[in-house]
Amino acid sequence: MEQRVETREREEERSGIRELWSRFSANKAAVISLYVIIGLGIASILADYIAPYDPYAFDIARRLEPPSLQHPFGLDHLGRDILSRIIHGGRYSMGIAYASVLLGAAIGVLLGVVSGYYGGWVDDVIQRFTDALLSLPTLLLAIALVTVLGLGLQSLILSIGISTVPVYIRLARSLALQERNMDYVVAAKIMGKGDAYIMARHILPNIVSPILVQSTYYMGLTILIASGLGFLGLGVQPPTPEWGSMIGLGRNYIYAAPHVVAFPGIFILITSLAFNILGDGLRDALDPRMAKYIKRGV
Amino acid sequence: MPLLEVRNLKVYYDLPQGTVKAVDGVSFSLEKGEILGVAGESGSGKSTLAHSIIGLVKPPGRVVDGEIIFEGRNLLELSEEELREIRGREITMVFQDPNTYLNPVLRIGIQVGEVYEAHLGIEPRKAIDKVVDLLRKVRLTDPERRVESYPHELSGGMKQRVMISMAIALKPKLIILDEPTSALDVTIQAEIMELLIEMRDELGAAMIFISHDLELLGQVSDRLMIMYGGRLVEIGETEEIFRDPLHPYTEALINAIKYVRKTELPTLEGEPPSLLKPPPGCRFHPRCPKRMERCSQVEPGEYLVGSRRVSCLLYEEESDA
Amino acid sequence: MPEPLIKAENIKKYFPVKKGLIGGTEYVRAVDDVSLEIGEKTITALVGESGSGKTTLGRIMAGIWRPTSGRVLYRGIDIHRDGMRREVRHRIQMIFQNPDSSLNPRMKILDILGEAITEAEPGIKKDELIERATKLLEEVNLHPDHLYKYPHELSGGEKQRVAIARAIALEPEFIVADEPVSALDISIRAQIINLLARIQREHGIAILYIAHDLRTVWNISDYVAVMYLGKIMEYGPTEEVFKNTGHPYTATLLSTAPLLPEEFRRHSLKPIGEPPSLINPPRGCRFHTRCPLAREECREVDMRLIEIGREHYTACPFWR
Repeated sequence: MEQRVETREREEERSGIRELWSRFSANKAAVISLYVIIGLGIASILADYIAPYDPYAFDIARRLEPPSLQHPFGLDHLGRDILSRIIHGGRYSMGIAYASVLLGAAIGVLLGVVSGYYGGWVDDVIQRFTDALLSLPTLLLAIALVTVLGLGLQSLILSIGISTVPVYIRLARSLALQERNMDYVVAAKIMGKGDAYIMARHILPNIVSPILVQSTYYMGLTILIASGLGFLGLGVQPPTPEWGSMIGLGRNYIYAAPHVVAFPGIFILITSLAFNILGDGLRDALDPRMAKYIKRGV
Repeated sequence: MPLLEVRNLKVYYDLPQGTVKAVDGVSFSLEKGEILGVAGESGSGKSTLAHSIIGLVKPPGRVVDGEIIFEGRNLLELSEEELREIRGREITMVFQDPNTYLNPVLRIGIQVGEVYEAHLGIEPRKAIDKVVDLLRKVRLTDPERRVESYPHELSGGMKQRVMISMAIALKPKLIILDEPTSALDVTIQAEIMELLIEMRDELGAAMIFISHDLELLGQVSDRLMIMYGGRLVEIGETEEIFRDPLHPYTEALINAIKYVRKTELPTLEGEPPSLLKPPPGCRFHPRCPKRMERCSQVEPGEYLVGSRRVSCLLYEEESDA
Repeated sequence: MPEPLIKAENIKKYFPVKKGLIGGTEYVRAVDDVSLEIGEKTITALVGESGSGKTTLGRIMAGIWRPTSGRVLYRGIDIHRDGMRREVRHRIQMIFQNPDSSLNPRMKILDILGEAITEAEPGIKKDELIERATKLLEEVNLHPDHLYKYPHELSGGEKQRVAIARAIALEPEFIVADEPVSALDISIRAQIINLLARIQREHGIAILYIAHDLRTVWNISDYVAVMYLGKIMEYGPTEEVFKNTGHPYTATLLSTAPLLPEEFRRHSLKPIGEPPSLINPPRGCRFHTRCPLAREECREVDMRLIEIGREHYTACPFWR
């Protein structure tokens, strides 16, 4: 760069919440995405109150009825209201994504920080484990894990969560490798602080931002994976509404009644896209330089 | 007619937090073959000044006002194309960190040869003899072998010699040096300085030498300009300024580079000013040991004292102008 | 010299570097058989250019890095053996060059100082801790308001003051200060040097002051060690080394300081060319390839330090 803005860094780097928001809000797409995600979240939580119909109530006589004023998204192959099923399904689709990302991040960051901080044989062992997990694409890994762990919500979350672990390990490791050479880590060692203390107090807080951005991207990915598994019949089991399984069950009627797959599909797309755009916005607001470490979800 | 005349130059940066007045109304001129040292701390605007002369100010920065007259033409009014003709040929620049400017995957010979290609249309491979001569001129050891080297095979001092060779290749009239030796060891630094003075004598090129190191500028510059908070503080003959600094800030800087043993070093309390919210009146007044009541209310003009120009109310009366 | 507080004996530090894809391992000899004693309550400056090994030696003497061979004794205790004992650990502290990387950006100043205070006094009460931290800030001339700020809200000079406050919180007897003012503006440098000098006097701390800036070295140090390519070229009381310089390399360094008062500047020696590689340092005297006064014998000479005055040693047998 030829240019250096010669202000005092004091002004430049003051990054309180307000400053962060002012940088974030400059990106309109990211702000809209944030509102979309918040909106979808509220709708899922309040599904019982918002959904116009019971998502399980069927009326075979009116099956595959196209969208109307009464049923804006139409009815599915059993005559259930698709709008209500999408609202309720958001609980599962997004709930699974949140839980598995939380799980994956927790395990991955822990292993990655330990790996990067200690180095040596600890690092070797964890890295070989990571290589093994990374040899399969995330979706395939998730499918393999589900088949091993069996069907059910818990094993679904566990499978998707574990399938995201290797990327978190890589990310946290490379960040920890940089952090461990920072002088404040050396200063803490000179003081006589222990390794666990240093990792918790000095390393973790300084790598939180990239992890958060990575997790946002991964929300987009895990929603796709959860839907994919649902579509394949490996995810949430019917009659429970979940976006992926709704497409899976509706796919036989795709020509006769496209609305049965179209609406859940649109919601998967919107949600996944929103998380990715939000991730970009967060990344640029927090620190654009982190781009080189982070793997986009989709 | 001076080679370069900068009049009332203002360069601002528009940041989300506000407007940074990096250079705020600076005027000076430069004669042919003269070395002008520009001194200041970080945030003084000295680097922005250098970049604006060569037309390298990019958004969010913008030149708000002023004229930069080089050989009778106002550089600020030229098209990008006309400017490119001048930049790299008539006016060249040497930067602090050669690593940012040398392409790591190209051999030295090719990179230096590119200068000839860009401005004279000579193919880099055919210019190789010229390049060897040039590298010999900047006293790079073993130039025949060095043209085959990659940048990482060279030490910091050698890379800076390569940068200087590129800057002098087309016999420019003005070379701008932005902290060219700050990243180098003192003994290497001394050699580079010697080389620069030699180049000036040989080519007759004028130089604007930017540095935070006043001791260094004292060795090379004919005239010296001190900047503070985007403003000119004092400008005049280097020797005179060292002998008798007029502005209290200049005085503090000169004191700061004296050698004293086992007694407190003379200090300047406080910190350099914020360019977002510069103090009212004289920008130096919050730190000034000689401040008067008016200093926080009145912006000092620039006053002529002998052959020197100084921006301090102490000299309001004495001024010849 | 007062009784040595800390003693580095025959320190070598070799860093392995891989040589190509198949070739074996070579070693960068960052520090090559260096001994240095630092007396109680004295400031010893370690001067040298990049690649001289001064930072490596400093980190070894602070106990951060282990030497490849040799040992560091603190009051007779080998600081690298069996991990460092707690009581020794607290007596040796460090101040770093770049205050941006030595203060955790996510911690408030109170927490940064609190780390050191609780290490000295585990289980200290919150209000006592604040009181201690306030006192520390007062010692380095910072307003107590700074306790609740983050490092990025402070200027470079203020950050370095906090780093100094943290270093003295454990009441050390020895501080390694690795170029503590190089990253600061000239007008701020003097403030920090004066502060270091005062802290050193008031607390009776010994300091290893690593620097390349002769002005500050001349101002605060009692002794100077000049390093070049992993070896000590000259050592002695500061005034002796500046006035009765005993090594051509020291003379070339002094020649780069034009404002040094006339009485010291009897030389205007310029070194030749670029420093050689640390992987295959020159045989004989390490400096002979760049020495303006080199002669034939310098290729073979043994780099042993020779006493040329009271506490004054040089590695050059020919000069003077």
